[in-house]
Amino acid sequence: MKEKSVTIEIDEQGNSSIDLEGFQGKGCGDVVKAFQGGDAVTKSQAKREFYVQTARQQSQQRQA
Amino acid sequence: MRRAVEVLPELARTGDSNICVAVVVLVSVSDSCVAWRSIMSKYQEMRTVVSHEGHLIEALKEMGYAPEVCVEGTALFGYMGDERLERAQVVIRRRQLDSASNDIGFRRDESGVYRAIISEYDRGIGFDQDWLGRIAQTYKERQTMAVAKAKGYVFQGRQMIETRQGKKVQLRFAVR
Repeated sequence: MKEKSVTIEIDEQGNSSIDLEGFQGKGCGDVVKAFQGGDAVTKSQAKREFYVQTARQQSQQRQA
Repeated sequence: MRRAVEVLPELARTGDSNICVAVVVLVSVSDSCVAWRSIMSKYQEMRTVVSHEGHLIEALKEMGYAPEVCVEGTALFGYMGDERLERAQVVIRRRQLDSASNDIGFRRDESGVYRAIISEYDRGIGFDQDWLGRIAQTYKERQTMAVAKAKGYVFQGRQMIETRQGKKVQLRFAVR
């Protein structure tokens, strides 16, 4: 199972990004919310490659 | 009989903020059996809002200042020692700045956000938007480390990344 990891980058203007890997279920939103605090969200997106990969893995598991 | 996997991404929003993104994957394993699994993975960008006094003070200290803190707010003084009308909860006294500087204050507004009070002179000698940006960068790093510690995340490293827009601090954590 893929390890859950969080990567946060902060630039010199005080803008930041949070990148989550390996999360499933409600935990994802909780983690983002905790790090977000009172910050203003400027961009938010799902990571397509993650669910495509997961779907492929599940398919392979079913076929095994 | 097994069939191709269908992927149905869907955005789920929590409350009035774009916090939560849910990707729902529908796996069709047979004509009679359909399994649902909710998967979440996310990328989000934010603009730092300075609203935590402790992290602001830590950030200023890290940048070499010794801020004064007064919950009720204290007066700011000009370069000639004249008391100004402005008051602030967190103050960098002028002696820590340039010889002709005025005090710099951070006043907490009604919404709990700290707003910088900086004279035109001081903005002109470098205590400008870029300087405030570096405060926000340091503040956000302190806030991030505090959240990670409180949540029990495992710190995996800090890295400075050179980009065309300047230096970025990268912090990595593992979540159990």
